[in-house]
Amino acid sequence: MNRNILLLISIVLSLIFFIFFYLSISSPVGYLLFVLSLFFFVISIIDSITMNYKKSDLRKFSIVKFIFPLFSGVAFLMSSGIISKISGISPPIDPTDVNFLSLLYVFPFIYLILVSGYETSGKIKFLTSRSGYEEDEIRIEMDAFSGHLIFIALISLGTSLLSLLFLILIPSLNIGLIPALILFLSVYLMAIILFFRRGEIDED
Amino acid sequence: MIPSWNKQVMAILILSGTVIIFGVLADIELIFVVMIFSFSISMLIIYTGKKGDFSIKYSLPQTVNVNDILDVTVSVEVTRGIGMFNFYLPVYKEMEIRDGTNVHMIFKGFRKRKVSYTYKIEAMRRGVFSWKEIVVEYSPIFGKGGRFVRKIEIPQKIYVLPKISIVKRTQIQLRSKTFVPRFSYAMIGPDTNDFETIREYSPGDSYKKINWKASARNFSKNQLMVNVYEKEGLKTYLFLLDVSFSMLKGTTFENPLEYAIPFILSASNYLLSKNNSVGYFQLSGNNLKNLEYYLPSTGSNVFEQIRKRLLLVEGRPITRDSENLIDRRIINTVIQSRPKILILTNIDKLNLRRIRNIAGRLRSFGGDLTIIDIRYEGIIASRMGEGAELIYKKVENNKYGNLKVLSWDPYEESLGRFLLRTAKSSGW
Repeated sequence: MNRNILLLISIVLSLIFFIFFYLSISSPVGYLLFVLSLFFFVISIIDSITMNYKKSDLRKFSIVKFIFPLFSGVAFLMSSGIISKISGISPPIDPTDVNFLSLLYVFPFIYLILVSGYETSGKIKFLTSRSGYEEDEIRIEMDAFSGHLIFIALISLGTSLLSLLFLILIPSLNIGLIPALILFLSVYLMAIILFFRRGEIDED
Repeated sequence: MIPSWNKQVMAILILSGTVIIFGVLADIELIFVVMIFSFSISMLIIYTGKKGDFSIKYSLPQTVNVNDILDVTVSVEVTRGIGMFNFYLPVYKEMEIRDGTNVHMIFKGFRKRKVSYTYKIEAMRRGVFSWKEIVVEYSPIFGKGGRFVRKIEIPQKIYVLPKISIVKRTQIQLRSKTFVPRFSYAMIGPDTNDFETIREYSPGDSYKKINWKASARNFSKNQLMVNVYEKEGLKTYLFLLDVSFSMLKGTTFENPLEYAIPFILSASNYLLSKNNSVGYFQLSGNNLKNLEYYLPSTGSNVFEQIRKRLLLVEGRPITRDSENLIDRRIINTVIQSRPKILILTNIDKLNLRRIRNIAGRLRSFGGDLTIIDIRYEGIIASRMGEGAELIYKKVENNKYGNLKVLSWDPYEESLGRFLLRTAKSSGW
């Protein structure tokens, strides 16, 4: 997949989140947090794109992109739960929309993963194109890298949604304590076995 | 390759941890999705942070001619690891890549990757060269460890042979334009069993030829005497190759030394085909090593032996102490077989005196001498444009003195044409 499409997908996903964030605002503090969040989001996009053309070290990375999700988190914190009750500030987000918006909150995280991949592939492309590599080959391999990142992000998203579905459905099934324990232990054992087998392969 | 990646993923995990704390404080159940998402990403980090593994097969040419364009094929199979593999494929000194590249990258995802790379190289200069190793660099996209740089040694060498010009006997005029005595020294070949005369011993004569009775009779002169036998009708040719820095004027790939080598080989090929005896020596002082000379001989193996030695020739500085020294084997050969000597050099102001001294000494031992002056102005002019000849002023022809010199500008005259001219002039 083309790395520019990778960037586009990540921006679109984040914008979906921002649209719903905007629609859920219920106070001036909410507007302030929204503007700040959007501002840092735009800055992070500009930073990621310009990083492609900078002769920067591969070890360096842009920290700006990690700022904007924090403002949304603060909005959640001030809209629901114990802090909002104690502080007495009017909630930035409508408390009835908080749960739905928190579900969409995974999109900014997908953005972070994809944009990190975009920056990395851009840097690799910049450095290798001056080291004798063929441009077509760089493009193909970087596209493979981008496709791989989307695949990983989709797997993670799918896993999260399935887990959520699983947790919603399990209580309604009324499977009882013993089967629930058996289910928990089997999932736990599978995870542990997978983890240790992986360790053994690495030692080989 | 991707050192920032781990830090970025760590930053995402820290951020998601912070957000989950926010979510717990805000009593939001669905923030759980972010938690699972981050957890899945971290699991994938652990799962995909594998050690990389690969196999490489290569097909490299072993023997080529100068200016041949050849294919180098390397097949790569990446079996383990998730990340970026960089391959630095083999090249060697004195070659140029004409098509493709020797640096490649592969992104290895969850599936195995098998790729074959081909690139074309041109062998620019004769010689025996070692292929450099294949270097493989692996950087996993996730995971802390697993990065490596592995070097795969390539044991084989590449032999770049000089191109020679094949001259047919019919191309060479049978009768020379210059006068060649019927029984010149150059007509003299190896010894027969027929006794001719006795003469005084000179350095280089075989001990087997010492006539002890005649030596005893000349006891008062304190001089050993040797038998002289009649020679076979074969001619002996001796190529003396100057390897001083005067021969390196021009470029690395085009200089008098690089033109002298195909000339010697082409001439040897022709002379050996006429059953002549051919030998080769470097003109580089008096202590030649094994692969710096080949005593005159006939047969099919001689050409190979001379070529083997010429492949390894490199220019070297000639010091003042050694500039007039001639290896004793050259003198012995001249005394024993009275060969026709061809000195291949580039006569300039620096080495004119040296060449004249050497030529004078060889003549005094009975050698029939021709000097081939390989001019380099054409090479320079082709690189620098007109006017180069003024910058690189050569020794005027009239300064050669009594030396018999054949001047050759490879840019003006092809090897084949010059070979014919030499053959006619020297009465081959």
